[in-house]
Amino acid sequence: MTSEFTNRLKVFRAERNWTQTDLADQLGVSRQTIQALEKGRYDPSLPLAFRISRLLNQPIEAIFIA
Amino acid sequence: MNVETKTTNAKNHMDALTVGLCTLTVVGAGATAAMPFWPQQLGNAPSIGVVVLAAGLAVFLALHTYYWWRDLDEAAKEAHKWAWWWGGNIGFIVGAAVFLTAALAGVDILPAPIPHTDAALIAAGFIAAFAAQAVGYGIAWCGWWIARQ
Repeated sequence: MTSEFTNRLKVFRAERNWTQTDLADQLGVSRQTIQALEKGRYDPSLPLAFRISRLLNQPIEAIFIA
Repeated sequence: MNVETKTTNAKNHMDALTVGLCTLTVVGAGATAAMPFWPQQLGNAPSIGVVVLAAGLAVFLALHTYYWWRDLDEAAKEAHKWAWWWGGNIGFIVGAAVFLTAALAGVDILPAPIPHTDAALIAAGFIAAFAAQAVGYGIAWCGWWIARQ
């Protein structure tokens, strides 16, 4: 069960010294969802991708790579 | 709506529901007068409190389910939808096949103490179908999350 694209979510999170729980709380999702996203086993919806983009202050294409 | 506001709103809704349920319980226990305008065909009239409590519980369950679903994140919703479709349907088909095979093979499906009436057999079929769907749902839900961890 893998995504059709890779993402750099874990890298950006680590750069900010955030735990998965920190990121989950700020996005309003569960830690399990962050784990699934980081492992590329769940593709976020467009609204969630935009929330991630805004939170990390990065363009979507810098986070999610086809 | 930001994440903090959403969390606070969800907590306020649940608190309101809890207060409402407590009030209903007091009314249910306290209002012992018989329910007026109760159709005689339905037997003895229950107390007003019991009727209010039952109606309130139905509303409480509906609202609680609504708030619970609304506050789930998208992955959790996806897991439930996937489990409902695949787990529920496959569970139902497998359960029905097992139930029918057992029935056709002459296996006594109902426990001995229960009278083997048509109503009991229909109830057993309903419970078996529901249980099979619930088991399928649970397995599929666990499988969805395990595959993504």
